[in-house]
Amino acid sequence: MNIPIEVQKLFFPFAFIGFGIFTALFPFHTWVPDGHSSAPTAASMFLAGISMKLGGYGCLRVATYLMPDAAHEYSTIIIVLACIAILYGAFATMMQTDLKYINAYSSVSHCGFVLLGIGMLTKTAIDGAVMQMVSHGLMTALFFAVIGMIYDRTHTRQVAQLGRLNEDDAIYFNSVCNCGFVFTWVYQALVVLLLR
Amino acid sequence: MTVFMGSWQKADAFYRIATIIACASIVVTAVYILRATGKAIMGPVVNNEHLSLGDAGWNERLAAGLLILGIVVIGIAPFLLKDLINPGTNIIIEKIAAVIK
Repeated sequence: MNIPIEVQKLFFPFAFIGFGIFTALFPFHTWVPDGHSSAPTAASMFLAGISMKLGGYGCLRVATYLMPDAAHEYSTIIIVLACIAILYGAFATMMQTDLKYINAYSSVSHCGFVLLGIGMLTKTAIDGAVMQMVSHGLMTALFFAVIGMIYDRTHTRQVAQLGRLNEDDAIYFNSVCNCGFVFTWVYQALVVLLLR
Repeated sequence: MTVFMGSWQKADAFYRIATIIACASIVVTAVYILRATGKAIMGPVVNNEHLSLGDAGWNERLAAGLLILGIVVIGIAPFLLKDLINPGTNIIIEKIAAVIK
């Protein structure tokens, strides 16, 4: 079934922005930091790990798949918004002092990569967008879990109030954090090697 | 990284510039994550009560361990994920390719 181009152009923005809000599309991302930080640990993990990915899935599977002409037409706008989200999210993260806000703003940045991949409309970029959804889902859920563990013990999420934790905990938490990041990079590097 | 490769495949200057801007954020990401981890976990002692905190329990280790396992498995064998993704994305790409041509 092909939808007429005029109809696609009319309805694509509604569908894409609707799902995009769920996946932190700039400038509709402002719910993400407050939503993540006010939710309990399990809800934050679910929200960042699964719910936000539903938005990316909708942008790809519903908006782009049903209305490819409009997706092609609006791809420039999607890419610009994604680039703003990537940079803005990364710099905003640097200014945060609360661990949950740090992870939430980094999610804005990382979800920007998903939208960038979708906006590029190439096979490799869309594959990368889907892989980014999975890897970010696992990584950010792990980070929220670790933040919850730290908060349970210290009753604070403020970076300045944490400092060095119990030595055993420091080793454990640090190894968990590093695993999240090191293996993500390994994963990405391997993808590049395999593709070449 | 796959997103960057896919983006770079488009030859127009606009797409290349967008890819470079997106890549630049990797540096910022490294800075904020190392800074936050360093300050929160490996910084100077600011509260002596934190020195007597207990270790993570089995349930916490299990939850974190499962997520780490997922990250490690995908990290070591991304083709497992790629094989799952390909049939779904191929359908979308076929539709997009028909439009772009």
